[in-house]
Amino acid sequence: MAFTYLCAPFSVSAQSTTEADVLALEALRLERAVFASDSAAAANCALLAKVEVRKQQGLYKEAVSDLGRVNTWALDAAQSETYYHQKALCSYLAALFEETLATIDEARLYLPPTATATLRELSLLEALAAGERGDWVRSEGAAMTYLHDAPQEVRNEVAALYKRAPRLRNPMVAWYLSLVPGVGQFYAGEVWSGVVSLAVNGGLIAFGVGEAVAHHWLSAWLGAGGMLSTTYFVGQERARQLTERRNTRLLRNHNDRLREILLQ
Amino acid sequence: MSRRIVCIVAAIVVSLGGVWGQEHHARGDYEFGLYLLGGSHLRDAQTLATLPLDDTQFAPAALDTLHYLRGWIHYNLRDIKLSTAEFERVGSGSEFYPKSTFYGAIGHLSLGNKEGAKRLLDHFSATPQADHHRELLAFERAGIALLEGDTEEYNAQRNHFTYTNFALAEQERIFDRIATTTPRDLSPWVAGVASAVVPGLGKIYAGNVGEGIASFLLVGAFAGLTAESWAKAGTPNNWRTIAYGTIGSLLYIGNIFGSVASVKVYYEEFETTRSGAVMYGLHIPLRSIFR
Repeated sequence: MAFTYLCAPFSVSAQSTTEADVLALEALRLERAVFASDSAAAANCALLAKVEVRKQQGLYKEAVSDLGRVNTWALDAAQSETYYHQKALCSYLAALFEETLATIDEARLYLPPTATATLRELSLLEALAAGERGDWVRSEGAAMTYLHDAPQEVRNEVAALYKRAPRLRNPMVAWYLSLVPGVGQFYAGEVWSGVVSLAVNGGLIAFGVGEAVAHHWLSAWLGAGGMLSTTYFVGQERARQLTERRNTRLLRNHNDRLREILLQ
Repeated sequence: MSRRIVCIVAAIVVSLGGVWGQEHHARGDYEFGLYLLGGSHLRDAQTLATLPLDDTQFAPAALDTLHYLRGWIHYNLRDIKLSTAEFERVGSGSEFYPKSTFYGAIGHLSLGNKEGAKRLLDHFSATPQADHHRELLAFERAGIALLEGDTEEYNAQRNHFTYTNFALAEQERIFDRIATTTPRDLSPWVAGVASAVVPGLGKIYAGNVGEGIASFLLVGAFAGLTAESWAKAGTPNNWRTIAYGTIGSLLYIGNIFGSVASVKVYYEEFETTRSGAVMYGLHIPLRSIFR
């Protein structure tokens, strides 16, 4: 298959104005090689090379998608190692943590025990990806496997970090606790938000009761009741969101520290 | 003498071979482009479609194929402006010319350029390829007439409808229905006065039943609150009555202006829905005819 239109740009790609243009052209050239390939092995070579380009472009999801087109039965031993390592790495960088862990499980099945360097790298990615999912047991096990040759003080530091691992809270528990205004916010660790919720909802209840005592029934039901129905349900939803935000913040802090230690 | 003839024949063969080779290679690019679109490799397709293209380097046939390819990729990437520009550059000798013309015309219409669409179709109608697409041409022109609200032109084009072409028949009937559907005759004054008498009634008159009921309940609730506090206090000079009365009055006035505006919104929505239905209808037959 011949390509007149593509030949000229490819031959001058090195002179392109930006690095991004050069990388985009290189990705296109490799995709053309996949298109023109006459065997699964040739297509795999082009796809694995294209994944490297996608990584340089910072397009990790596209890299995972390209790896999904690799014919794993046509890979040799070295390519298999590269494939699993790249797939786990790109999935992790694309924040597809479930896919990262599934790829690592698959790699352990198919890679021989002699692929020690790759398996060790996969342990690192497993520790990081499981950490992002809040699965501390799996994360710690993988981190210790990765660090089995590391100095004891580093291993102690990591063990201490996992002892301080944050306990994540259930956003739906916060939602249900907010049936009593403010309690869901307290559960989420947001004391001031809980106080405000309690004060606003309490104030409106007091206003409604006062109006009812004064026999201003419409004011009690429509005025106080109408506003209370809004603040009450908004408070519940806010408690749920605050809990999710708290979990995200604690996970990020812990995983930043873990990444710092493991990548040192 | 014989050597000269041989040289001339050889030159012609080489020249024709070069043109054929270019077209063959352009075909390769074309198939690669379709492969990228079919496999959802849109980022690569975009790179392909934005590569610099030097018109002087290609024979006309190869150039037409490449312009069509670029236009089709941009069209699939929803970049209508670029796709229309590329479709317009496909020459009338190309096999892609009819498809490029009709998709180019749709592109012009999407960009609000009805004159551009008409110009493309007029140019196409003067070429021999138009003989195979007379009814489609009339259908597209009828659609443009509907968008312009030109009933006379629509009826003139409608005379070419056969209602028997499988790709066109259903849309032709839909166009006939659109052409005979007119908006209700609503008055903003009537809507305003209706909402002044019964809050929300003007919105119901404009077709927004839900909004009308909501307005009625909201204004009614504040009217009730104001009346209750006034009756309990025996005088309007108390904070409750003033607060509820002020909010209720603002909602009442807003409900009148909202009802007046809802008539205008009704006409705008009618026109938007009608234009959307025509634009959608213009697309449908192209997908079947140029599959």
